[in-house]
Amino acid sequence: MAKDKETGEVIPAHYIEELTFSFDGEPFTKMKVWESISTNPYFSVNYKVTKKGKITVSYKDNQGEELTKTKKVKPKEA
Amino acid sequence: MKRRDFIRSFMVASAALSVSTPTMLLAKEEKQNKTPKGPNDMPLEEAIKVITDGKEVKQSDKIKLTVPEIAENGAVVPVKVEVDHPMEEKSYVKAIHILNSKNSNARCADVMLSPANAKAYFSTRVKLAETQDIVALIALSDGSFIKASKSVKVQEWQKIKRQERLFLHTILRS
Repeated sequence: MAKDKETGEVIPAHYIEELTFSFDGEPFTKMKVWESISTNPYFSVNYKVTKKGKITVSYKDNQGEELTKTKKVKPKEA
Repeated sequence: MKRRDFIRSFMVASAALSVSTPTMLLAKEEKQNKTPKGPNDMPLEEAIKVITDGKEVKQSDKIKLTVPEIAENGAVVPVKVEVDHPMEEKSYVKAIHILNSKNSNARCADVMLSPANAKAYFSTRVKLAETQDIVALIALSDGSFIKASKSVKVQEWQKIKRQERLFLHTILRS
């Protein structure tokens, strides 16, 4: 619980709860996250790209907000 | 008044005095400060029990847990976990759980991986309230669990200031 330093009001908790990483609509990594993650969160995972496709990252936070971002990727040419 | 009674009353008074020494008041106040709890509060042992369902957890050096030894800012502590384990259909790392030992909620993040990740790797930044241990609990696809932990020292300037303030407060009041 955090309080506003000047007014003393309790600032409601606001954090990401679920994160999903998917490739062409198929999820490969899912995360459950709690308050102990820093402000402006940063997450990094590995994924082996074998063909052209789209990577989608979406999240849901504890206040019901949702956001999805998609980016095209292709395997590195040998 | 008899002499015996006088001594007895004196002893009662001194006992009452010793109850309210500043140090004890300080301890009491700290206890009170800890009481408000959030909906997710969970100590470390309980969190591990929830994740593993009571199964045995082995310490393992297959896990490479990278955290700073001393964190100047407890609000941003980088954590990196790598597991030296194959990522194939038959045998892979199912999940990486990052836990802490002294925040009010021991759970930081649960990462469910799949063989498509090709490498059991996860990194993030966590908030730590005080000097404590970071625990990486790894679930393998065969149902077993391994873990590794490292301690992070958090510079506690703010906490010291708070304790000084509390101490002054109790002295002024007594």
